[in-house]
Amino acid sequence: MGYKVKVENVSKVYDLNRNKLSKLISLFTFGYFYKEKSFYALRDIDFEVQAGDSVGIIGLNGSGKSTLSDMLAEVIQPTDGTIDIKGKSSLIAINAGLNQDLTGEENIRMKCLMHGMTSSEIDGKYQDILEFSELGDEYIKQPIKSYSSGMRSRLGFAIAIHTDPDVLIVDEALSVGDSTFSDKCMDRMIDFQKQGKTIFFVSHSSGQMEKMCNKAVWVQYGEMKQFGDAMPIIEDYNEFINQYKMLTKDEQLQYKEKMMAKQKKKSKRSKNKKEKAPLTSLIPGVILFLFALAGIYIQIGSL
Amino acid sequence: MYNIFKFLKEQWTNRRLIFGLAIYDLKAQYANHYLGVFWNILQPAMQVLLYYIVFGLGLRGDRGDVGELPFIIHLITGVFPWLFLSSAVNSTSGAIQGQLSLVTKMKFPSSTLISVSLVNSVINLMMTTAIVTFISLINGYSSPLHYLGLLYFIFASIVLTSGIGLIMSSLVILIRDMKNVLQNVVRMFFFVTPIFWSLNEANEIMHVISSFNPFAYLVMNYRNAMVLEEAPLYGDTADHIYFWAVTLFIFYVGVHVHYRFRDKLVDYL
Repeated sequence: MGYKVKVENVSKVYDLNRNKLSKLISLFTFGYFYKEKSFYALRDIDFEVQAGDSVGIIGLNGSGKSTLSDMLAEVIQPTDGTIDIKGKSSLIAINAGLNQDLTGEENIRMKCLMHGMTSSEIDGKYQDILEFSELGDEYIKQPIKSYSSGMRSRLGFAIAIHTDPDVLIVDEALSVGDSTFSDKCMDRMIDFQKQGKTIFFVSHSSGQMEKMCNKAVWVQYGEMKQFGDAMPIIEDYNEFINQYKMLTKDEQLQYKEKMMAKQKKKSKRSKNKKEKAPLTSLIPGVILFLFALAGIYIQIGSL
Repeated sequence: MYNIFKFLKEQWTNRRLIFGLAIYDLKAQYANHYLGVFWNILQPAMQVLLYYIVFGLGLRGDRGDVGELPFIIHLITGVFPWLFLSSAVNSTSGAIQGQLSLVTKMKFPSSTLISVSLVNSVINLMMTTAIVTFISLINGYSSPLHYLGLLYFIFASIVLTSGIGLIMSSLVILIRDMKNVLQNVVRMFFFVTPIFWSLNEANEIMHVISSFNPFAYLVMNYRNAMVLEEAPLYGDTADHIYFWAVTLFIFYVGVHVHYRFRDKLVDYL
């Protein structure tokens, strides 16, 4: 059987130059005249997942879990390497990707439209989504910004599972709902597993993961530490966490700093591949620019 | 060049999505209004009325007609295409920013948001143009074949405004101030474009400014197509070459900036 999701040598580089001006220059000169200060948020991630697998992505804060899940959802592009996903993917995050100013109902319709549904399809699913989210007719007409975080994640979850994704990525979204709702979500995800859909489960708590996942990826400071069957990895991870907790506050900070420094150092050593547009692709632009100049010249001449 | 084809293809493959979102936008915009979509006509009509009082009755006074046209006709054939152009520029520029929270959390071709805004603006233009066509037919201002110039106007406007929109939609996310700058620039263009004044009566300086103002070219094309007796297209060869040279360059830059921005959107936030 073929793979469902294949992640091949994927790296993600962020630019640490947070200066707006340099970003502007980079945007308008297509990468020329601009030096990037690159930082590898993820480096050489490599794994393959079959249909029906549920994969837990674990790691400490800032280790690159969310970057990985964003890339799996195809929201951001990897700097290097390829991610091949067979089918549609859908991301559920804590802030759920909802528009704060729109009401719940508008968000449902907007998001479903953006997923490519027709309005009659949405009419058919609307009641289901409303029921699943347990928001009730009153709240659904209110703007999202008045919702509690639990309500938001319920709505986000309800919409995402009704868009019929082949790959579902759950980024800590269940940690805010109460247990009755997260149980309902679990049931729904078990249904998904039975239908042979792939689920990625991002969390730093191992409890739910043990229940749900048969595979796991452990990301540690931008690198993939382990990938394979869930149980041994989660055990290793718990052991690591316990050891980490045993350290004093200072030692914890020291450890973090040490690892971050290592990550940064590696980023520096690696070849700085500049994000330039190739010169040949700029030729039509230059021609058009000359054409525009000629147009201005002709216009001046005709006055 | 490849990016331009990619952009056009993206719009074509997502055409159903674009129209779905545009119609939804239109419905949602006036969902809780008593007059609903009727506002799309009422708003421009009220604006025309105001301008007529200020510029027509006030400034112009007794001078009356513009060439063979009553001033009010001259005014609406300037204000309606202008409202289309300005709303297209403003809404495309804010299109991505408005849906940022959705776009950063799902796989979505954000270039289609530009098209959604454009489709919306074109729908509004159709409503106002219906009025102009009606008036023009009754008074026999323009010959029916001239109305084809409207299609040229729409096409040319879409290329120009989508180019501007593609650049600005990225820029306003990077620099919030750009939105205010843009609004003010658009307002300035309202006054230097022959909307409530007429090119034939204007000072030589205004001719020079207008010949470099692509919006003047567009508005005049609309007017030519809808109410003027002359050729269906406005301008001489130099005007056409100038407009398309500048427009295509803006469009090219827009598409490239958009794709460069989109691939690294999170970096630029």
